[in-house]
Amino acid sequence: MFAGLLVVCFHVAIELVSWTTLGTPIGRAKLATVLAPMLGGGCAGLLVLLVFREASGSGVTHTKAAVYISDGYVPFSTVLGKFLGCATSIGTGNSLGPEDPALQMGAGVASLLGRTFALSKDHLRLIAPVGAAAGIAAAFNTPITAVLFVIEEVIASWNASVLGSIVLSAVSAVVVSRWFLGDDPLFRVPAFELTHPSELLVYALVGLAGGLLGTLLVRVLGILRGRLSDTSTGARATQPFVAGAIVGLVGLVVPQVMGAGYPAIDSALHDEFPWQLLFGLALAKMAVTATCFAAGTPGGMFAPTLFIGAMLGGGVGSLAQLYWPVPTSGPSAYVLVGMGAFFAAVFRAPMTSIFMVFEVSASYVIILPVMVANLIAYLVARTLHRVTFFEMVAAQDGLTLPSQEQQRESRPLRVEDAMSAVGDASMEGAALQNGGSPPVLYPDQSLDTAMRTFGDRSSLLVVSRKDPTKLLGVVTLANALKAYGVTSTTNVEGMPTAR
Amino acid sequence: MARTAQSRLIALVVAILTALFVVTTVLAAIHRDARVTRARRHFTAGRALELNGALREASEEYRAALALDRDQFEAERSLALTLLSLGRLDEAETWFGDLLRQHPTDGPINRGMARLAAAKGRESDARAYYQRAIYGQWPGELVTPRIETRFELVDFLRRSGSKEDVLPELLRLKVEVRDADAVVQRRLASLLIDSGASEEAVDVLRHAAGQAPRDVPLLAHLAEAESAAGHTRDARATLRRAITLEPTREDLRDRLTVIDRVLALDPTLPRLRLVERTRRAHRVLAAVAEHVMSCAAADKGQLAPLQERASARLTTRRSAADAQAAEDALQLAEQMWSAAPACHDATPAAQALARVLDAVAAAQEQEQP
Repeated sequence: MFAGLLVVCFHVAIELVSWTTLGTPIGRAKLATVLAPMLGGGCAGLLVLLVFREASGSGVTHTKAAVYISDGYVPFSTVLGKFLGCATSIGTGNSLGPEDPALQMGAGVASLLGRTFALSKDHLRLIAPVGAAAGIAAAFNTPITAVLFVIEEVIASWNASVLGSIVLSAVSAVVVSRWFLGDDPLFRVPAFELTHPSELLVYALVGLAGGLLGTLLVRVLGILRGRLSDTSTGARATQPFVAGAIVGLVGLVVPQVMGAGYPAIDSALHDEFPWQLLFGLALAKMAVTATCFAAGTPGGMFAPTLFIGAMLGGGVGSLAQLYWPVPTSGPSAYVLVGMGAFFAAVFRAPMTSIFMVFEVSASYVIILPVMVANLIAYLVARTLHRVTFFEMVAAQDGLTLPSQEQQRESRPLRVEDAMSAVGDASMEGAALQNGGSPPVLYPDQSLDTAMRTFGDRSSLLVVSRKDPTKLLGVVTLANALKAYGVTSTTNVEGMPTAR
Repeated sequence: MARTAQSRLIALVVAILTALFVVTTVLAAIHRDARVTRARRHFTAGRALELNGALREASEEYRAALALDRDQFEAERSLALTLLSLGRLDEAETWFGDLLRQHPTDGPINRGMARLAAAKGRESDARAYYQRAIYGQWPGELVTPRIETRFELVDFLRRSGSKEDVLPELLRLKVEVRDADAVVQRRLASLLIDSGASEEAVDVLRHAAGQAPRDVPLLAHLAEAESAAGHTRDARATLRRAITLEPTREDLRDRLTVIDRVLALDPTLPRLRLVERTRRAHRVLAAVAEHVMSCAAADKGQLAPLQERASARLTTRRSAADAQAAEDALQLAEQMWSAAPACHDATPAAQALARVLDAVAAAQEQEQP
């Protein structure tokens, strides 16, 4: 609830700042278009650089750092810094989004509550992701996406003890957000339908384009951010001003790229832009977002990613409508799929990207194209750029965090990996040799479990699940250690020597 | 002690939560008011621009209103209709789709969708949406927009060549426009006459004339409908009434002249004896012969043999009541008339002859098995 209320205030603050400084796009003064993001971004950058240092960079990375490095500790100054800095920068039109800061603010509030109630270190470590889920759920108005993202990207585990808390916090934050801001979804999605199976090829193209462009964005960001952060404090203080000015100048030509860009996504969903403008907007948004993020302007990458993906998907969809040999769906379907594909490519969170599109569209029809496009985008991005966006940002910030992608995909060692097969030995005979009726293992059990089962034994019997009397093999402690890669001959007393 | 401290802590957290709730409530209320006010301002500006014909600018204002407040139904509807007027059909369709999902029975939205479907050539969709619009919900005054929409449907059906579907819609209109003003009734009557339902047109106009007995244009229209329906004597009476009300109207006098002449010549009028029909048939032949021979534009060479036959027929002694002679005379008159299309001018004499010959053709058509 705390996180939900805070995110509502954050949302309101961004809009109030935006109305005060920029007004509405119609009749906006040119001077204000350039000066507002320049001064807003600059001041927000200074605030973060000089006062709230912990509030700089990516909220996701810092929340992960809180979980893995600082035992769940997120200073409350981070929450204040993110709130003030991001409301100022995003409200004045800098090309960044409010979701990533909202995630960190949620984590900060949860951490503060945990500390207030003197939770144990383990609980404190787990409460930050719970708050993060609440923050992002309230910002996106999508509870499922929030839960999946936190599980997929922050904790990389389906631990039942924390899952319940994450779901509960996400749901309560969304309830609070809807109470105050209304229950409108993030986007108004026009009705659409898939017209022909061959259209899946077009969606595959959207995935390919999303994968390529997503990789390009991450690479450009990596290079730019690396260079810009490796400068003096004075230079870093001026970068957000320059980035803001660039946003303002681009905004004179294409005002849609300013701020988070959700109204423009809505327009794309309603077929407002021709394909040339859609591609132009995608490229312009990439340029200004990379500039703002690399310059250290406070704000997140979620909204710009959705924007770029939406325009890219819409562009491909519009071209397909013109040139594909069979009739294709309306542009809204491609805009949605583009969002998901680009999100999957940039953040490498495929499950989140699929459910996010599903949740914002509330359409089951979209699932198949989204799965096709997201999978392709994800694989293309993975092949072309091994390091994920968050890993890259963490490394640039000097944080050593586990790779969630590797963690998700790493295969745990199993008993069968360390097992020595035996002939047709009977269970009874082997049990007698092994000292009566010892605990047994199954081949599919994890080696971690086996290690805990050894006790002071030097070997354990492995039996079939189908027929527990059938002996399949033996796992010795030496072989188990060997499977873990321990090859030293250090002889601990009473332990066998591995070779 | 520890329990007391814990309770105090919980109370403090609850107090902070309550305070944050109050602050958020106030902020959200301010924010909502500001949003709605700004959105209304954009909507009003859009309306003004739309009225001045600046449709593109109006659509931008409507968009701005919707970006601020998605619940601005009127802005959304106006945007869709404006985009339709601008010819941005695909874009308009997405908005109409949105609107229809939320308000499937809204009249203006269904009419907009019908226009869009018509513009995209989706005839069956257009018809369905027009029907939904007619029976849908309309803001404020209920009757006029439904009638207008049905007129629009009739116009669409006529343009798309579905003539057989026009008359049922016109007959429904006949019921719906009973309390409408004379202009609407006259519009319907014209459509009925075009669709061959002259009797229905007469019915409509007589009803209207009963409501507005001193409306001269209406009476003139009624006379025309009566004449087209074959009620020539009624047409004469109606025209006389109109001339009494507005004696300076020369056009009405000309039309009366035409009708008088038709009444004097028409051999197909009911309750005529054979003697009279025969006499009238020969009068028609004489009048046609005189008209075409005195017409400068006529091809005299081509007409000469017909003229000779006509003179011979008119001068030959014959029985006073001869059906065959009457028929032959009328046939010859028709041939002469057809051979001189350049003489079908707007003079009362020519108009009267044209009507009489039309009536003769219609009667012959009816007589054929």
